[in-house]
Amino acid sequence: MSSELRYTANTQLEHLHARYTGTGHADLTKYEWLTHQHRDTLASIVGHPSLASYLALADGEAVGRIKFEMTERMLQPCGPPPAKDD
Amino acid sequence: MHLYNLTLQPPTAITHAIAGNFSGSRQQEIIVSRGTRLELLRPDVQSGKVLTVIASDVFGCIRSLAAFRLTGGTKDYAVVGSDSGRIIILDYDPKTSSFVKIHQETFGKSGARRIVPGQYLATDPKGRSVMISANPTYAALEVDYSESDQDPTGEAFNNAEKMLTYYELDLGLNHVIRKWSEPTDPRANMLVQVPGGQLASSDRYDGPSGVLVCCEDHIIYRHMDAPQHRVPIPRRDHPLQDPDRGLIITAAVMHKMKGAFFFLLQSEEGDLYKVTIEHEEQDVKSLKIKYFDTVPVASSLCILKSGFLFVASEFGNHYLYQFQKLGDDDNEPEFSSASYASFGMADPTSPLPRAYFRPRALDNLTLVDEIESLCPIIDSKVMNLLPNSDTPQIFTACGRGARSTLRTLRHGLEVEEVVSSDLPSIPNAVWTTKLKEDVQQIGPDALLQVHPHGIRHVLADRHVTEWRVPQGGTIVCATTNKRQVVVALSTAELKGMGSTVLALSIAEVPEGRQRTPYLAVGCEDQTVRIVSLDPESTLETISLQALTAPPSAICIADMLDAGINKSQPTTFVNIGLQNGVLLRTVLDPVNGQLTDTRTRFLGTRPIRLVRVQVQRNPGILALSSRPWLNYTYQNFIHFTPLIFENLDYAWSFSTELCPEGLIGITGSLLRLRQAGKTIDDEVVNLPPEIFGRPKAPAGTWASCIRIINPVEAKTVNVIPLDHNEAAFSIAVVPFAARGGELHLVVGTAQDTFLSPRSCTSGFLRTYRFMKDGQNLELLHKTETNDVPLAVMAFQGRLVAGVGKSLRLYDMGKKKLLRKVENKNFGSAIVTLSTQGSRILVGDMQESISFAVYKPPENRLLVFADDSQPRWISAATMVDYNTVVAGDRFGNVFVNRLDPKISDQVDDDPTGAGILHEKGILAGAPHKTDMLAHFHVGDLVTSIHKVALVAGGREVLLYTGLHGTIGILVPFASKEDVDLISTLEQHMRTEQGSLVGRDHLSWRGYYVPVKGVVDGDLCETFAQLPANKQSAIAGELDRTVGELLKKLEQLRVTASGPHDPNAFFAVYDGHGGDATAKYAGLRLHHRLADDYEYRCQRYPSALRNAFLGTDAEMRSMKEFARDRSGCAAVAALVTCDNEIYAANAGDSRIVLSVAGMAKELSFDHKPGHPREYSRIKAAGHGVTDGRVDGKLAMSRSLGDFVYKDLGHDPTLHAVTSDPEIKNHRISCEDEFLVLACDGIWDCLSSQDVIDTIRFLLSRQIGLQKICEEICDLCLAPDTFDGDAGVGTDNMTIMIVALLNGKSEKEWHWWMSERILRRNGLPQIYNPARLERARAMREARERERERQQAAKFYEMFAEPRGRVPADDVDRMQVV
Repeated sequence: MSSELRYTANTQLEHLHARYTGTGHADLTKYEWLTHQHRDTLASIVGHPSLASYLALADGEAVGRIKFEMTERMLQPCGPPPAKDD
Repeated sequence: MHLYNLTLQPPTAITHAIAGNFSGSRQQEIIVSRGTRLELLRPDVQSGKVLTVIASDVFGCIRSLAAFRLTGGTKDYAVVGSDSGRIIILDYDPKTSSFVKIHQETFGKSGARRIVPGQYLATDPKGRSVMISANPTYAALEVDYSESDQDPTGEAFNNAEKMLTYYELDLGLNHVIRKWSEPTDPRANMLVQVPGGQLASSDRYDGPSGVLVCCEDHIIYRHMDAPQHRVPIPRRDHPLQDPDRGLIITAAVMHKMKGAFFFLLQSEEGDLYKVTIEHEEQDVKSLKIKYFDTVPVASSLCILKSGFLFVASEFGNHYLYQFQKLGDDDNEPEFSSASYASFGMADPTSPLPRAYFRPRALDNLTLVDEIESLCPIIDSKVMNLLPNSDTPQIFTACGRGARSTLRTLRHGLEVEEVVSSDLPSIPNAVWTTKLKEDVQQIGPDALLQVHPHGIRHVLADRHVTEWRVPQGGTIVCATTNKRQVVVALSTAELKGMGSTVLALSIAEVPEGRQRTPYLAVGCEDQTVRIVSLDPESTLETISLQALTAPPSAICIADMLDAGINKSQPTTFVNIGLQNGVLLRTVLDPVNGQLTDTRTRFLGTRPIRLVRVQVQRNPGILALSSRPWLNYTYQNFIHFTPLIFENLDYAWSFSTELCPEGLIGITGSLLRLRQAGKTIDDEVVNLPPEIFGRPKAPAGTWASCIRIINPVEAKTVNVIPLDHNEAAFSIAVVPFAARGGELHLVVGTAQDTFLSPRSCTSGFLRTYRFMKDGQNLELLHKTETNDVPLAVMAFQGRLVAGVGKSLRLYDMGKKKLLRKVENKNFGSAIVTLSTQGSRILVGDMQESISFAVYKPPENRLLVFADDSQPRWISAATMVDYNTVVAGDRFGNVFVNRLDPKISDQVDDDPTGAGILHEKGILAGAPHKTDMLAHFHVGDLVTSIHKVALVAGGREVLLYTGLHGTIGILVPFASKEDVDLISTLEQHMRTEQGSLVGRDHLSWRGYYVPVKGVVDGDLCETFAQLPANKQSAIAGELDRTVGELLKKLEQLRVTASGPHDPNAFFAVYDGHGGDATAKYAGLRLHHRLADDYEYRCQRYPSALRNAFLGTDAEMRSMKEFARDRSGCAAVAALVTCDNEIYAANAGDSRIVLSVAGMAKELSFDHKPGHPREYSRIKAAGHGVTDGRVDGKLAMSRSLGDFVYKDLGHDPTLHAVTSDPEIKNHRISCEDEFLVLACDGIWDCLSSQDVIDTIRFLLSRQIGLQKICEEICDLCLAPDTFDGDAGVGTDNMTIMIVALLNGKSEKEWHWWMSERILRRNGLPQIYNPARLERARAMREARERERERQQAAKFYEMFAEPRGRVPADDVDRMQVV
């Protein structure tokens, strides 16, 4: 890879990270990865009507309630982050 | 494997609904999103009925929908946010009745992602701008989670504030600015816009502006720099309710009237609240809330200006209500923010005191219409239970809670029952079935009476004019429209008609004209002629259509079919034949030619046709042994059987009653019937269907076992389950230990929690059927450690998926006895299916595994699984090695096991081999291959392999949660696969999705689409503009009509019967290829459509097919100048082992019976005495063995110069009447040879048979043999003067009569036979030879084994001392 290309690739990557929350990087921790996974899943449930209906049926709740609870859960889906070592 | 996906019933759930003036007229419409479809509904203000105007599949997932109007405009537009990463502005064009994409803006990736906007949409009330977001908008509720992600103590999480933020579009800068942001209630879930701003014309404010923030238990009014107002959401005064449970608003709608506005908010319980804001100019004085009414929980609410409320239910049917009053002056308690300290905001963190109301029956609203919805379909079964029904019914378990139903669906069209006493007492509207005495109203005040001897014209003043038939004749047939009368006389007075007239029809008079120009006449000589009615050329024949049988009825109707002409109705000539076939051809209005003929078999009786009105459009009712209706629905012609128990009733109903009797037909393709509606008394005696049951906390269940008689749609018995037990699975098991007596096993669990999955105990309840299945007796309960989510009968025992383990149970006295268990499943077993000793297990997360039960060792072993994880929701076995399954994300896929592995597993008696095999990818030792994959777009809840018609082709039928019912049809031929998949590719580029979703990525949402063609997309071909249609058709080498016909055929064959017969033919053309080519395309279709064929009278069917194809060609203008012809020979091999050989011409069909040639046809040469006499009788001569010295055969298709019009076609000099021979297949019959005269001139029949057998004995394939024979016959050069033998064209076809053998077995069998008969003499008994050979082989094997052992010993001993360079050689050994 030429140095020029590497340079553009890097800026593109940074751009991607800035634009698409949840894109992984080299120093990603397990907690971060898991949180992103959960948030993506929850967003998918809210975004796909049939999945939201499915959960609403299973829980015996209204679809609106399910969407609300899922959105709320996106705040911290996997509990508080682990304590930092330093 | 190639499948064709067709949706029989699109999703019926509504996820979003918006109201607006989309067509630009004064009438308001509703656009609804059904998840993957957009529909425009129009509520009829007078009747209160909701009509679907158009429906369009968007091939994408709709996430949001909003309506907006440009400033000063009168027309509303729809903004659609979807998973395409694009925002679309749609316009409804009432002229073409379609949605038009006005603007498409791409802003992100596809898919429903949290970082790509599209989930929320908001529009500016003045139509200036639209905001899209992954979060709510304009005024937005936001939570910043960046801090709580960093803080391990959880303090930031607890302190995370929900912010209410205002955004503003600065029109000057064209930039969005964040204007204002304030924290609000942390449990806020929804914002509702409050109108504001001044009208340009007056100083008055529309409203105070701002938003209603709907929170759990509260509603807060907020606006920038204004005091907040807070009111509680009133709750039901219900003793059983959980008091700690919060209440949220899930749907809201605002309605503006002149100078006032109010909100209707709906809680998650379904209660509607009316919210009003009292304000002076911009200052809010108070916020008020009161209970309004209770309707089913809605996904969207729409208020129409005409006083209707449309409730798009989350689950179950949708409703249209009419406002009776606005709840202004009733005794309902009203809660105002003014009655609380500082407008309820004294302490925003603590809740306000609870407010209560008493729910009651509808007071302010009345129900006016109900739109059926199957959503959610929980499960389905396909069975034929109704008496006198030839098609199976689909039984679906729909709905949830108290609104659940069991519905029976059938393919067909529902006819609403019309009360017969409503017969209008107007004598002039009566038609009698005897066409000889017609009475028809002509003009405003006159009657016209047609009787066998004349026509009477009765005027309103009782003055009568009469026309009498000339002496000796009677009127046999008559037809009228509003202005013209045509009668046919028994003396064939209609000029030019060679034979008796059987049926007549003229079209309605076109608007602005005095008469219609064409008359269709059906004659006894099996033709229909289009006759001119122009005064200048009256009764001149314009065009002619040949038929397969005498016509019984003709009906000309102008109907709109956008597939042919989008703007104007097309004139169709519908011809009903006496054999029950209906022909539909298009009449060209300019030149009167007939084109685009389509046929359909309707039933076994002669067809009668009646012109009717269907939803104010012309339609045709066709009556045979089954009534059918041909009508325009959503701009396309549909042809659907009517569901009627009594056919005679249908006949008299539609004819004797006024034609409007059919107006009430709904457009739904499926008949729905409510059954087993559950009704229970509530504590406060409120019907739970409307009010729902009180919500219980998680882990609390109410469940029962219900026996329903599906035929009478009645609940026979209900067995409630107590102690918080809930049923999860059910199966009928014939326990071998009880002599095969049927038992019912229900898998239940106590105190079940879904997340994380747990229960205190699971049970398998075993019941015995009592009183002929009307009641159940509990035999015992078997405790299990987990929830049994799947149970199934298996070889006289029960197999159950209990949590992660698969278990086999047998019947015991006190409980079921566990026999064997396999605990190696990933999450939980949800589906089971079986064949033989194989069990297919569907795991909740880990896809489908193949397990086998090995009785000798009593082992349950998993030997194959899927290579990728799948969240299985439904699965069924397609065949022994193949499984079809649906997953939670809306995919359907087919997996197949390698047959070799299948054989290997079956050959292993104990299963020890499988047990010790090494697993791959942390799973079973073998993996299945994916054959097909398709994204349906709806969560698949059940899947079945069924035939939709008795004896029909089997299809895969699936149901989706949102009410989708679809089928996957296997393609019949490779040719179809190529054609339709190329069409699909063209459609992908031509027909862009309405929401801008790429079709290929939509159908391959999670896994790339494989082996499935999307029929729904292909069928939109009919909606393309004509120039695009013809461009695509040109690329595919077809005409538009052919493509449309093919698509229709694919839909029809899915529900049509499967034809088990085989047809082979050789057409040898001369004088051009047109006839041979046409016959090759049409003759077999004609045969398959023939009535006699369906009645299994094959000889006459073949005759009809030959004569009909010939007549059809003759009536076509393409053949008017064509001089070509073809000799045709055909063999029909039926499933009941008969061969019917039909021949017209000098080709030949020969059967090999144990090596002896048996000719099944006779070569029609003009020299034969019988042929000669016919040719002579027809006025032609024979010279040099040729007809008129030219044609070398005496029968053929085409060659119309030798066929004189008007004669009986069997008497023509060169007739197309085939000679038919019949042969019953015996075990000595080997193969059939069909070949043209090019072969037979060189080789005799016996020569050909001998040659084929000789080549077969040398293990040469049949195709190669055909080539060899042609080579053999082909003259080496053309110099020799020998009359051109071997220089003619040659076609040969060999048909192996397998007689139940496989192709390989047949070849083996043939070479054995040939060798035995023609090879060495047979001295000894074959069994004795066989035994000797087996012994010899065994001896040889033993010798080989010994040699190998010796060889091994030689090397085994000195292994350590083998020199290095010898190692390679050893490996070779």
